[in-house]
Amino acid sequence: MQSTNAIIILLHSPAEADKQVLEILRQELQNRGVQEICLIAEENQQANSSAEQRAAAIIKGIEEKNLIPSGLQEEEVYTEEEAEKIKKRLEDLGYL
Amino acid sequence: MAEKKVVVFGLDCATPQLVFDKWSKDLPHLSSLMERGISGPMQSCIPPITIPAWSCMMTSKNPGKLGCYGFRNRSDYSYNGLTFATAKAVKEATVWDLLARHDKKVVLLGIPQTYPPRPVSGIMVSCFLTPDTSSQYTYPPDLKQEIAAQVGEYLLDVDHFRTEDKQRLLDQIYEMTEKRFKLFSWFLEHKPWDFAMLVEMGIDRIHHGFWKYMDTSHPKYEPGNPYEHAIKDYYRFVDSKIGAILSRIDSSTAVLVVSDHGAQTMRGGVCINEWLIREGYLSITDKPPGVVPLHKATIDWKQTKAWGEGGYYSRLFLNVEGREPQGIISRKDYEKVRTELKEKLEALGDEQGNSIGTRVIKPEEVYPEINGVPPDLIVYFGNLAWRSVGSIGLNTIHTFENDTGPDDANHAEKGIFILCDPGTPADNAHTFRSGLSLYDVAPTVLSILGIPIPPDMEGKVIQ
Repeated sequence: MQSTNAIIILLHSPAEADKQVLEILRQELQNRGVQEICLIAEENQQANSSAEQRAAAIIKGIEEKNLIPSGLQEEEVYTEEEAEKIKKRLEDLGYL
Repeated sequence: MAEKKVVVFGLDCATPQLVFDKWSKDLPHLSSLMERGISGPMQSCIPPITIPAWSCMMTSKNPGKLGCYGFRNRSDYSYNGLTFATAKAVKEATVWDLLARHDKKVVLLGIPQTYPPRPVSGIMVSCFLTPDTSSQYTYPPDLKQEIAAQVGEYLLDVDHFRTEDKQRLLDQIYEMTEKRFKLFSWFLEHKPWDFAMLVEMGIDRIHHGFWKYMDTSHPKYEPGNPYEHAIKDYYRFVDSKIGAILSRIDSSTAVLVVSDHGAQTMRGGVCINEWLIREGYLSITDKPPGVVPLHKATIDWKQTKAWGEGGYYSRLFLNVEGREPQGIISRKDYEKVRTELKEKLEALGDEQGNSIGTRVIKPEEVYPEINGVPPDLIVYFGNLAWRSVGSIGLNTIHTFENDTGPDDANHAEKGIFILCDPGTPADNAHTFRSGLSLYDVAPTVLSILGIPIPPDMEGKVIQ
């Protein structure tokens, strides 16, 4: 994860005017010297979407931009059996 | 005007002496890209190994900054705390992270150190560090079904690589490559993308498995052998696959063909731990019979100053008082012992005592910043013409039979770089450059796509 100068979360409608808000914000912040700006926008396109669904969509946007640490630690990636399999593969391939 | 796009063909281990010199006339599509663009040998990272090299390329950060020095890294200073360098170990922003922040879509296929896959702005098929295809190896997860529908059983890598059954290995390399390119082509046609990248491992696998059949300077080369043209034929096959994809994408797309390192003949192996035992740095109290990995022996840590890891290069670790659990080298003697080992290893010749040009590197000499637990010394035996053999029980320092099965090639420090960008000034077309670096790839991609380049990227824009 890399630090970011600004993360802006914006809930908006699909209207074109609302989309322009994102670009205006980006430009304005850049003009003020913010190096890296991440705009996470979520359109309320489905009237019946729940707060949880909308929040999940925003989290997905943040994850795709790699702005938050992932949950698992390195050693938790493989089960014991998988780790042995990968080790054997890497030995077989000559890397170890 | 359509938005600019970039496609990257990553060919693991593709080597300059074959692509640029020996076979350039036999590779029409790569040659065409070279004629219309910028190309040259590209300096890899230290060490020039698949992991960390692809991550270094895609972050434009050195292994010290990433804290990733090989496929397995010490997580602490215990004796058995080696962890795999998975995607979780990459904490720096990759090209695709930066592109996502600018709403660009990506297609990523087979890039090493991307398992487990994490959310990206597009799709990702992870790499050969995936246990098998029953694992969750794609993002989004349901991409697996699309892959199965397109290519059936997707091959993450070749199985049972260390084999004398060369025909089976060759067939499997072709099948893997065929499926990977077919899938890539399908993704390019059916998924939205601004940046698309594939890494094909087949060239690395065929080099290691077949180099002695091709290279007349290899000690085991036999004229007229049935696999004399296996590597060349495979390069031509890959070239044709690249050509087929290029014929189907927009001609304004910028194309990069890059490799993480090159290849060279493997002259033999240096048994690093046997040497350390002989020189009194490593003490074994109990060892199973035969040739065994070091970890299967009982090490007398109270009498051990250093031990080494095997692989295409060696990593040497010192047993330091107050750092390792049973360390015996005092802090004040650390530098003295390290320098002594460096000098002795650099002086170690071949089986007849002739110099082999071994390079021994202290991490702080090459990494401006050091994170994680680096090796105390990085050793390129014979400047990588010799492999590091970590096993013990061979009763020799030099070996010409690998401890884990046949392997004909080792890595070399220079890979390939080819950039064909229709936006490149005409004056720069057909230019063969020197001074290209693996760290240049990420800023070059960002520049082509009009994305700001983070100031801490270590490479430069090639244009």
